[in-house]
Amino acid sequence: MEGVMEMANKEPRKESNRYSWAVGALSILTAGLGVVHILMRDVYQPGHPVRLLVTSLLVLSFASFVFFYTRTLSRLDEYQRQIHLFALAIGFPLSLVLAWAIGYFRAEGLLQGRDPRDLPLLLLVPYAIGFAAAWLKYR
Amino acid sequence: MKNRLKVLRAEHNWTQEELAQRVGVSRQAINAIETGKYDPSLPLAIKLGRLFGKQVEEMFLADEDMEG
Repeated sequence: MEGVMEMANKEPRKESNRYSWAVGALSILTAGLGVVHILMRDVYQPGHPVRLLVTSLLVLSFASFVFFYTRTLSRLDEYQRQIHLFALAIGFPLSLVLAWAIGYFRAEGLLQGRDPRDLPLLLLVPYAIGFAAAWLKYR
Repeated sequence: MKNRLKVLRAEHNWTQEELAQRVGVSRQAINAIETGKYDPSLPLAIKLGRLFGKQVEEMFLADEDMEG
């Protein structure tokens, strides 16, 4: 029991707030770059330097978001983990439904105008819904 | 589950933030426990009990115990 309690004592660290800010900033940056990427597809041809730059920044931003998100999760206390678990419990099935629905509708000839590359960004929406539900439940 | 955390904390004149730092959790966690929105894990409950010099069952009461 002592070992478990010592572990519980180490969970919240001061860096967690800093990482939370990084996660928030990177999620906004990633979403913004995603929108920019969608808008510029009709402006620049594939291989254009501007397009390559935005794509590289988007990938880098998304990868950084995942890195800091996992760092944040490892530093949450048990209550904060409960909130994130609740958010994932709602967000994960919603993501499955959304991904399958888009796939089936595309197979039926609908949603053909949408680019499959945008799906990962779209899947952030179910998690945001789950997080909002968790926030309402535990606030 | 009901608890006496808020009363015990007030007896020691600690803020939620101070108590949170003493047991190594966030202030939000202490607030959620006090308001009954979250039941702490056994290690955290024991840690709180030791901090206040109480047994866990003196601090936390199950709903059915309240009815009885």
